Amino acid sequence: MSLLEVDGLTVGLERSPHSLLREVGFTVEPGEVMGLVGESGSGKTMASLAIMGLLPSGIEQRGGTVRLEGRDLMDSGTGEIHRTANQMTMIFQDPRSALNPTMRIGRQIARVIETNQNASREKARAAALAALSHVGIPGAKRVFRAYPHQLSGGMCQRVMIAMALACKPRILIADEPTTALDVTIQAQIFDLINDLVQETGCGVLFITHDLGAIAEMCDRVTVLYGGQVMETGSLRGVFTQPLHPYTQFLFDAVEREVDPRVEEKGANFALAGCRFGHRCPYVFEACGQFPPLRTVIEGHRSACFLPEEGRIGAP
Amino acid sequence: MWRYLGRRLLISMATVIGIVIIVFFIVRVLPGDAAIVRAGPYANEQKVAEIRQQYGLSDPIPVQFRDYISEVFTGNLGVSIRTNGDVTDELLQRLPASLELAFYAVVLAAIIGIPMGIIAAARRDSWVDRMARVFAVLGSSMALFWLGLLLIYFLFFKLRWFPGPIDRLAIGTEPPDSITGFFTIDAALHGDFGLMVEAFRYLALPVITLGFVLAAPILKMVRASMIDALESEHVRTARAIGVPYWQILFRDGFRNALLPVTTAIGIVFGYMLGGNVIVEFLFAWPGVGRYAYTAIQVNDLEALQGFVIVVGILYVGLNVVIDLVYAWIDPRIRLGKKVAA
Repeated sequence: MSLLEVDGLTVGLERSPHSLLREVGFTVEPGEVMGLVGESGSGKTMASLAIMGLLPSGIEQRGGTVRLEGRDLMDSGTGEIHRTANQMTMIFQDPRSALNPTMRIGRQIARVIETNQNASREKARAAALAALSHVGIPGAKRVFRAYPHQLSGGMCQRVMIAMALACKPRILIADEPTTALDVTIQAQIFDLINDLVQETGCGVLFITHDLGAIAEMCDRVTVLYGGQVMETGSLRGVFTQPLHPYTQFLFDAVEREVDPRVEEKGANFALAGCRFGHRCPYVFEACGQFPPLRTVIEGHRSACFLPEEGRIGAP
Repeated sequence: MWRYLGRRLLISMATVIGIVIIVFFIVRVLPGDAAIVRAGPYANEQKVAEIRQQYGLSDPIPVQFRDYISEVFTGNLGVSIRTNGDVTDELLQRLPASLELAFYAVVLAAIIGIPMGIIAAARRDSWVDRMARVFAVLGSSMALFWLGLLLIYFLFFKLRWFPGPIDRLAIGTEPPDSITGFFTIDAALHGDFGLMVEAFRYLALPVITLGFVLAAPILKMVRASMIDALESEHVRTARAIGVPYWQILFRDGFRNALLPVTTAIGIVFGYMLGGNVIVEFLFAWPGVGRYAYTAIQVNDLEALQGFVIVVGILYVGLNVVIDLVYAWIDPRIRLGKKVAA
């Protein structure tokens, strides 16, 4: 049984037939970092918000299940996801705007502890201060009394991690946690997340568009494009033997020139078949249908008709 | 913080000086001749010339300006050509009536507008929200005088729930000795609760008229800034870490929507300081708005000048208070960019 099991997650704009996420599924195991990678607009953040039950207004969940330790988090009546912060917590891309600007840092962490562990005000204060020191903030006492605008972005992200830590979550979702920060801070934040996994054995869903960060952080990878899972497998498997044409081009884009046949186009959410169909140079009749994820090699799945048709003309 | 406050005060002083100078010229380009009005319909040329001489209206403009400036900065706003009274005294005597009306009207508008705006934002597109939006449109398109007349007709003339539009108190009732100038508060301070109730009853209709109309902009601003706050990233964080709903609504939502809401209330109050002429007229309220209106009609230049200056100073003062409230609300203003770590 996986720690987190997402299956068939489908999300769309209200009053629009098209889906922003289509049948997205993957798993996260305990003590594992699962990377969710894809270009801008591929639905990475949308997927994480849907899993958290935090979809913005105007966007509705149309199907799929989210299971935590085998338990379905979805309310069968309302179709809404209910979770508690000590099941799943999230840290965000821009840590400074993710903190309440009119509340002292200490209070923001303390109230997490108050609400999630039913601690008294005094106990929560002490625990919050401990959490701040734990994430390596120098002068924790001073930071405790500071407001978010008085801290650097890196400090704010540490504070966010301290808050997440205080929840003692089973799953931590990190949505591009270092994109808004200096590169020098990035390594420190990564270490912090790794420590958290080591200590608590929680699973991490690590969202990024940075393949380097994936290689550094993750045990397994899921590749998303146009709201559809293209490929999912172990880090080594996906990086050394990408099965899906999109994944191949993603790596090409980093290493060498991309096949000129792959046009630069935005994702087309109106496509009934494969979402990469309008850009894929290997496209053929079957691609007009939705390609389900199929296991190609043990633990390595791809949503493409090419391998089974024996047509794989991959380089 | 202190630098912020110092800068605000400095700007305020410059603004007051600007107002004093501009008012002088604006008042002088108004059409009409005060001396002719003062002299009356049967006066001859000579009489008019005398009056002109007496009030300094025949002096060259620079001389008038010099006299005006030296008077204004010693707190003397001149003499009313209509009543022959001292403008400063007359304005100060009427000001509490206007302020009391404005104060209660804004309080009522806030009591209606703020909760309704919060609920409308929290339950977007629900029936409460729709009602709030209808109310906002109604309030902002309602003509003050018409609403006032309706209230007078139904609540006074038909139902007799409230007294008629005659003054701040019934004819023959002695006002309380002035402490604050607010009859309701003065009466309470003297322990005369009957008088306090009477003052409130006379306040009711004009306050309801103004409060209803002024609630609309406050409601709209509260709703809009609450929606912004509730959709902000830090509210998303609060939801992600499991903060309870009510705390999100008030501590994360409303607390961060307070800045624009304060601005809206400030604007509404400022508008009330000079803008409730219609209501003061309709309800025979002895305030500065009505005084200014009468002054315009008879070309009473110094009274008009005095009114604009007093309202201008009040307005500037109000803005300083609002700036202080900003600093109290928002640590980013209070503390600046002082880095803690």
